[in-house]
Amino acid sequence: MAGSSVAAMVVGTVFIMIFGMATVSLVDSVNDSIKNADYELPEPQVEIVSITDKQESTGPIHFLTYSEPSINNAGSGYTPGNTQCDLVSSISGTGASVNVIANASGNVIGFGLNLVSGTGYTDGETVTIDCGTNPNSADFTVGAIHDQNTISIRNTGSETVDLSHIFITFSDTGSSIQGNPFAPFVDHYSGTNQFLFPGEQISTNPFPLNPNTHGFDAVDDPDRAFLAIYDYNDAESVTIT
Amino acid sequence: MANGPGEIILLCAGLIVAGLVSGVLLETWDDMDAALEDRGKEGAADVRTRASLVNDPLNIAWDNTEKTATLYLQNSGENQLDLDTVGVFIGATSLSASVADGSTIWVPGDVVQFTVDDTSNTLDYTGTNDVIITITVVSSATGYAGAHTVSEEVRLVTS
Repeated sequence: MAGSSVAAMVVGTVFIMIFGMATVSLVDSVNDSIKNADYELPEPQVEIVSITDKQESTGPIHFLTYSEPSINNAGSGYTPGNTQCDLVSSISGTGASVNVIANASGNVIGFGLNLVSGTGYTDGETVTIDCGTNPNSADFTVGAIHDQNTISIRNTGSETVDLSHIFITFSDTGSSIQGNPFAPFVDHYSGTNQFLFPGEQISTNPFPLNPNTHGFDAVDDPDRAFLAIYDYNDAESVTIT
Repeated sequence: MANGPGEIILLCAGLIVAGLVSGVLLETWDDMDAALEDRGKEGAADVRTRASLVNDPLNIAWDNTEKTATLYLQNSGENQLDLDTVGVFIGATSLSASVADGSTIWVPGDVVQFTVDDTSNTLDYTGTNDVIITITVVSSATGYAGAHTVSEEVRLVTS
């Protein structure tokens, strides 16, 4: 075979190899494009099982009563005038305080409006007033505690869900007022779960409404709850008792 | 077998023509490959970019004096989203959208509060109005930024 023919074969083979490699690269790019077109984002499905708004066995103080001397003690050693004082529970309440009014003799005669509700107080319990030179000698009675909300949800889909991605928004349909979205299983959940697995159901702790977090006050009764997670939504009426 | 100078000249000419044609073909092939790769990356960015409305669509408050509403949007994709490139339309009217909760980044799963403002004062809603709201978000990835547009039917309630 002449040298020119061998050269032609070599050049032809090189062309074929180059075209082959280019074809492989092109096919890879086409495959990548198809793969991207087929890619699907998570589609979690979480449904509200129930939402209740009711008085629990303990809760934040709604209002106090003071009836001295028949029920409550006026105590002594309190600073005359108005003083914000902590309220000590004999059971499990913590965090409550109120503006206490004392007379010139240092006896409690009533309370002002600035009630910080705390949590864990029992309806009807006696709370002592922790301030002054003779602390806890006077007391008030818990007249009522706030209702609290509890949310139960279930993962009805086939994907595991990050609990921090679930948001609930309360609404009052009568007045058409909508609250703020909040993450119930970040704000009001004390369990150890971080994820909700398919078929799993969990509930929040009972929690009072808060204007900053939920857009409603503890005394409000929003009657609708809307759940949003990614493109999936659910809505239920709140059971108010 | 080449039998003379004439055939060698023809062979060389053939090789030169084949080389030129191959060069053109390979360049075209390379351009197609690059275009497909770019489109693939854009497609990957697009498909991983998504946002969802968190508000209860039953009653979204509309302030007809200020021409504003508050929207909560969740990054339901897998790319970080650009907080400054959110587009909102109510019907055919474009509204400006600004971050209202101080968020500085928008990572997947996060909900960000936006105030949408009809700066053109075109919209005039009283009572309740069912409208279609269209939201566009763009990912903040470098290189290829994905985009996603979602339309939702909502009820605007003017207090």
